[in-house]
Amino acid sequence: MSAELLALVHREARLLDDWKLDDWLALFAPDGVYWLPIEEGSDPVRVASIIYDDVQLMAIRVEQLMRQNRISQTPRSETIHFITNVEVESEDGDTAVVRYNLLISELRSGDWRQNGLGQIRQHPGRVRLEAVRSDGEWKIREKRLLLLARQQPLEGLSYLL
Amino acid sequence: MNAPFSPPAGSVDGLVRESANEFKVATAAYRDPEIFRREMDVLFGRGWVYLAHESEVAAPGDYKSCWIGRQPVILARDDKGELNAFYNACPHRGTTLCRSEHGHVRAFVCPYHAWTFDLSGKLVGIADRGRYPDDFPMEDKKLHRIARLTNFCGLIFGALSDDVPAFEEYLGPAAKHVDLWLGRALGGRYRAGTPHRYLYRGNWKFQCENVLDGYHANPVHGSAYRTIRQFPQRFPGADSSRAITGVRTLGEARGYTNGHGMLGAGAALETGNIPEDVKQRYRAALVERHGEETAQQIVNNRHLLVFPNVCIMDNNIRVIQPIAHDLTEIYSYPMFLEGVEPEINAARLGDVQARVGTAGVVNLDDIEIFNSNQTAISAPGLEYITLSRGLGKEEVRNDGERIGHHSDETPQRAFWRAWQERLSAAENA
Repeated sequence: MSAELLALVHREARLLDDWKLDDWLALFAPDGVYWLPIEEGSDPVRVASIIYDDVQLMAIRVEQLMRQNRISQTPRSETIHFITNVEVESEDGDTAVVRYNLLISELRSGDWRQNGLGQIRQHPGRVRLEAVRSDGEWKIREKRLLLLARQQPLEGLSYLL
Repeated sequence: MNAPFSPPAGSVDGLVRESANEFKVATAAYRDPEIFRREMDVLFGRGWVYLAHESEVAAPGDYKSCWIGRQPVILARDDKGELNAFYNACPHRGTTLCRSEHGHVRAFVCPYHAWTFDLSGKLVGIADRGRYPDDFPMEDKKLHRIARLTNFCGLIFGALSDDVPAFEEYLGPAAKHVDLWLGRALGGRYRAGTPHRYLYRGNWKFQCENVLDGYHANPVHGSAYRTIRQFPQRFPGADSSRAITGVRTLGEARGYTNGHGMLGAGAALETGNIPEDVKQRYRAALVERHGEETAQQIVNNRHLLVFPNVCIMDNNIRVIQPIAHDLTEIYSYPMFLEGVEPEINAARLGDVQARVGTAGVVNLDDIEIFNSNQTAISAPGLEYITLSRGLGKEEVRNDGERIGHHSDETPQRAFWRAWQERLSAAENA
C-alpha cells in the first residue's frame, strides 16, 4: 500500500467532513470526474446517475454550497466519512486505482425537531478512486461512489458525498 | 408533532374556501392522515393515474411494477404487443408476484406455490393440478385486471374504477401542452430512462403546487441562479436572462377544470452544454416542421401537471408518489428523443440530472421548503393557507381554462377546486 495513495483517500474524506470544498475540488485533475451511478456499469452519458460531474459541475456545486447560501444547506449538513477495506487495485507509475468501502453519516442539526432535520442518515457505499500523478502529486481522475441504496429514493443529497 | 387541534369532524366539505377576495385551503388537507386515506380512495382509487411511458414496456415480456396510490399494479406487454395492467397479487393465496421495479419475463410465476400466469394474465399452470377438484373454477383465478388502461401519446394511464371519463375528456384543453411537448421529438418518439429517485418528509400536494409555482423561483433558487451566472462558458446567456430578485413578468400560468395546470416561462430553459451547430440544426428542423412561432412555443419551458400526480416537463417526466400524508417519493424519468443527435440527449440528461435529479442544485431547495411546510402547518391559528395571487385578475375562458401571470396561483386553485369537488362528490354520493 502506497502511503501517498492512502493519504489521498483520507485527505479527500477529511476535506469533505471539514467543509473545505474549494480544497476538495483542487484534489481533482483537470479532467476529473465525480460519479455516483444509479446502475452499476452503465454509460453515464446515456443512463441517469445520482451525480456525474466534470470539474466544472463540481465547481458549480462548490460555489453554491460555499458562497451562495443554499437554503437546503441552512443549516448545513455535518458528515463523517468512515473508510475501511482499502485496497490498491493497481499502481503503475503515475496512475493508480484504489478501492475502499465507505460509510457516510450525515446530520443537519439546527432545530432538530423539525422535519428533515435532526436525523442521522447513513449512506454505505463502495468507492473506486482512480488517481493520476502529475508533478509528483497524486490527483483524483475519478471518484466513483456506488451507494448501496442508489436505486431507492434518497433524501436530501444537497451536499457533497 | 402532529396537529394540536382536532381535524374537521368527519367531513371533507369546506376544506377549500373561495370568495371574491380570497382562496383558502385548510391545512388539515396536508396534515390529516384520514384525509390522506380518502385521497387515496377517491383521487387515486377512482380516477386516472399515470403508470409509465410506453417505452418502459416496449417489448413483449417487459413489465413495470407501478403504484396507483397505495395499490401495487403490474403493467406488462403481452406476446401480441398489447398492454395489460393487473393487481400485483396472486389469486391463489395473495402473494406479491413481481418484486422487481421492472424486468422481462416469459410468464409470471408466483414465488409461493409456482402458479403461473401468461403475460395477458391467464392462469396457465398449477403445480399438481390433479389434487384440485376436477371442476375447480379456473376462470376467476386469472390475474385481476385494473378497470381501465389508456395510452395517450405514449403516456400510459390506468384507473382502478370504471367510473372515470374517457381520458381525452378528462385531460380536456390541457392536451395542447402534450402536443407541444411531443413537438420536441421532431416526429420521433420519446424513450424514458432510468429515473432519478428521491423523497421528502412532507405532503405530496406541496410538490404538485410547486411544479406550477412561478412565484417561488427567485427566493428558493436564488443560490442556483447566482451560481450559474458565474459559469457563462457552461450556461451562455444565464447571466442576463434572469433577474435574481423580484417576480418574473414573462410567461404565464394556466389552470383547467379537472385540476390540471401549466406553468410556462415564455422562454426556453437554458440547459447549456450543447454545441452551437447541433443546437442550430435541431432548431432548424423544428422550424421546418412547425414554423417559427410554434417552434418557439415548443422549446419554451413548460410544466404540465396532469392531475393528480404527474408532471410533464421539458426534459423529464416527474411522478409524485404519495406514501403517507407526510412522506412523498419522487421519480424523475429523463426523456430521451429518438433520432436526434446524441449531444441533444446528453444535454437533456445532464440538465435534469444536475438541476432536478436525486442531488439536483435546484429541486433539493424545493424539498427543503416542503419539509419545513409540513412542520409549520401544524401551528394553531394556521388553519388555512392562502392561494389568492391573481384571483379575480385572471382570464377565464368558456372551456374553463384560466390564464394568469407566471407568478399567479391560478394552477394551484384549479388543482384544489378539482380536489374539493372530487372528495366532496365521493363523500356525498
